[in-house]
Amino acid sequence: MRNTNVQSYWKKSAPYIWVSPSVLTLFLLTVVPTLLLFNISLTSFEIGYPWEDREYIGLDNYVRLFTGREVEFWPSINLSIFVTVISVVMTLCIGLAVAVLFNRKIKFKYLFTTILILPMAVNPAIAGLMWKLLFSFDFGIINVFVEKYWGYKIVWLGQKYALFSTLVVLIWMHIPISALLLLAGLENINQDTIMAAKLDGCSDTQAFRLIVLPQLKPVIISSSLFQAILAFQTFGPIFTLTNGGPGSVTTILPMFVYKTGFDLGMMGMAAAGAVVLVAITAILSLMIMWTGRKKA
Amino acid sequence: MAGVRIRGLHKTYNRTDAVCGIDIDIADGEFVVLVGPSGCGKSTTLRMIAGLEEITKGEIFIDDRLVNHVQPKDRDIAMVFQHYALYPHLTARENMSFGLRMRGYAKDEIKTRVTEAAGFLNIAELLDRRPGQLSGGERQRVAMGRAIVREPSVCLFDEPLSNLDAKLRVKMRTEIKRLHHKVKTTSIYVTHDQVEAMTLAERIVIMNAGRIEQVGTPDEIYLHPKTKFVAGFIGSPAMNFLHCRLAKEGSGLTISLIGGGPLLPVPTALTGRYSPYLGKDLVLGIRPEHIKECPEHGGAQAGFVEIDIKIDVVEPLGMDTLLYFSIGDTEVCARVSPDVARGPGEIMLLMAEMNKMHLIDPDTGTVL
Repeated sequence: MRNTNVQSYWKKSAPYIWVSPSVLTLFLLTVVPTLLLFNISLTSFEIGYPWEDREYIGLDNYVRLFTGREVEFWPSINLSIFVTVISVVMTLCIGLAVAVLFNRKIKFKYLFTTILILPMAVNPAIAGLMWKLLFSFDFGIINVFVEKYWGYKIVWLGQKYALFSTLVVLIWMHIPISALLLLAGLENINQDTIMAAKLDGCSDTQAFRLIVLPQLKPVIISSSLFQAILAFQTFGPIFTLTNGGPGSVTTILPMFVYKTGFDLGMMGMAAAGAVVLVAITAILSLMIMWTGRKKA
Repeated sequence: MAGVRIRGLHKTYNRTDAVCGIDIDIADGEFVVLVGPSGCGKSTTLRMIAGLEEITKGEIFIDDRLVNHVQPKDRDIAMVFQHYALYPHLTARENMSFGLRMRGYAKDEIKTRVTEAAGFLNIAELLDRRPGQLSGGERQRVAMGRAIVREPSVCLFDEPLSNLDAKLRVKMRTEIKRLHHKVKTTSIYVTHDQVEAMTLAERIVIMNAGRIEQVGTPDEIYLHPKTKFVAGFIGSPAMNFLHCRLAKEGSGLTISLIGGGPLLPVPTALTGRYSPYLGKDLVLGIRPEHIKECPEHGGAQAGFVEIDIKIDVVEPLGMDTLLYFSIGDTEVCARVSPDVARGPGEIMLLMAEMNKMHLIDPDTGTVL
């Protein structure tokens, strides 16, 4: 009887025991740093001063951020939202077009797939550097073509076009993952439903709009939310491409956090900005989980 | 409604011929079944009629109109698919009305047609459910409803019952037959199940390796198969095939089985037909249902030949019992009444109905 109780206990506990090392590691690498971050955000800690000299100021940093006393905070949030929306929409549209093309029988499909996923293989910071060279006013290859066909060069990383150039880089980086997710979604659609739609009187475009897209909706939503997370917390490519400039033209929230902490030395304030970033990312992640659960 | 004519139809995939030049005439309102083993080209043929596959060579006419280059939506064809192909994001009602909405029918007309079809198919209470909330049989009825509401010229069925369990399949077969009696739409039905073919078809087209083996009514196919393939494909259990040779016996002919077994006299009426094949190696075909129990030695009816057998395997089916035994190296099956069947290892007297036998040329596969 006692042996049976012990066996039953181990049987019930076994899944938790096996999963616990991973959960513990995840906890130590994510939850604990976030809690420490929150702790720092409640202080007036600055670089150059001893950690012991920090003062606990409660939610003062958050008050300064949300009341606009840190003048770059709300513009960085607005810019983050703008960049995220444009990036997600364009990535979705181009990714869908690529996925539809790859879903057909095309020659050299494996070669094109390899080319498609190349941006994923490039480190984000390196991608920024790479595009910085391409956008270079004096010797960038883009200006070589622009000058040849239009007779003048463009300052791609100047005040006027820096944001546009940043969006180009982000979209270029995120198209592969979007295309692959959407391609997986397309391949899961029963092709007979499309044939049935054609027999029911649909043209190719109508069949795509009325039959394929609705079936693809869950994948589109999940992919968009995932892309939104990637776009919102992008740092590497912007740091190497524009460093948030010129001025604050490309200073999205992660860049604001970096500048506040490492340029201005205000670590407490930067930590508060980082907590806001974590909260927004967490909300987007919860939305993905909710979408997935709703589908199930 | 419209007739369908197919002339010299070919389909080639990467130098592989899936359909090799077939000709079929389907009359207006006729129910024709394309039957054959997997990979014989029947579904490919159906899809070419629907316009869902490109034609490599040949012509398809629907109601005397050449439709080779006509879009599927303009052929006035409806199709019931093997896996239903219902739109998962739409309710049953929306699935059934989709085709009518695409063609710009008035709302009242759509409502009337959907309600009438749903009533006929007993799915009225299911109209507000999505396909994911329906059983297999219910989904198939919704798929049939989607096809009939359009009142198409031609209705195509691509193995619609394959995914259903045996009991439901029998029920749905009756539904399809009842539906055809009501609407009388020209119907082309594809299946690999010869029982479905025999029960549903007004005419059967038997296909094999991209070619037509035979076209005929179920009775013609069953009683007068033209090739060994057709003889063996139609009928369950399959026809028995025994290698044999024709020999002269007095003024008549006798069949001697290669590998041993009794001598089987050829019925007098068939002597003239088979005389030219004297001494030739042939294949004797006889259906299990044409080998039955014999009451006693000398008790065989006219046209029957007695054979003593030793039973190897017994398969009771309820209504009948199948007995498996050997003649030489060949396993033979007989269908007998369960009242008289004996057990494995026992000796039993059977009689074969020689008027119903077929002789087949093994070189050409044709039934003589």
